Amino acid sequence: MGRKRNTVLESEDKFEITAMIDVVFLLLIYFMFLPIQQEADLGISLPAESPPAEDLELPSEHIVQIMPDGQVLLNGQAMGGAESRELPQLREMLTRLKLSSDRAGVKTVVTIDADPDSPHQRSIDVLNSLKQADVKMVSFTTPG
Amino acid sequence: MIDVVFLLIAFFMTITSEITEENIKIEVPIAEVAQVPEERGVRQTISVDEVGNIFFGAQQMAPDELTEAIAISIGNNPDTRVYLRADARTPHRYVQEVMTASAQAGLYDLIFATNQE
Repeated sequence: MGRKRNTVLESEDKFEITAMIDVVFLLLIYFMFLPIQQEADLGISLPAESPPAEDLELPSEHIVQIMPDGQVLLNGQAMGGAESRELPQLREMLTRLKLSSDRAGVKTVVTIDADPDSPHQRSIDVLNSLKQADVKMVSFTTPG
Repeated sequence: MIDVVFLLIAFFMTITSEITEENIKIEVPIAEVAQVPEERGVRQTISVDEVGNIFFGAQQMAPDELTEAIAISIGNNPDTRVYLRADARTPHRYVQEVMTASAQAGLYDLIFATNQE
């Protein structure tokens, strides 16, 4: 009788570490798989459907076209291949246009005419270049 | 038993985070010059996956229902902005649908979700 009670006491004194290690590893794996990358912003303002003011200054307007295969055209001129994400030619050209418009005191407006079949990444590549060229007024064309 | 309980907790935690809007399977496009905002403001997340399914928050929605849903969001808070999470491979026409819907609802402030790397 006395012997049996002793074994019970002994088993209560022992600390069970196996289960804890299990749990810790489980939590470790869980937090490893949590997404850690934070998404960044690329903000634009869509044009409002309001009548323009009377004394509107004519801005310097440029059209960037995105073809279904990813080819980018600025005012009808080819600006970059479909393969590379970087569009250095577009960026340089826009920077130059922006500078000359700024000197003339005219706003630079860029309209993006993306083909419905072009991948979204291409529109973002163009927005990326526009931001690098410090162009702030951007609009997208709509179908119809 | 504790093991099993923790396993269940971890399982349900993963499942719940799976169904929230940030985890709809989307690979947002890459933009090197994009910035992580300090002030996020009031945002309504709209996700568009690779094949053009549109999600308003975590709820899947047809393009024609979107205008109304956005209008309700603006009604609740006029400072709401649309946070557009479109997959890099999504054809532009679906992005156009969301832009058109938000313009029709009277919301012109749009943010594209991107990753820096």
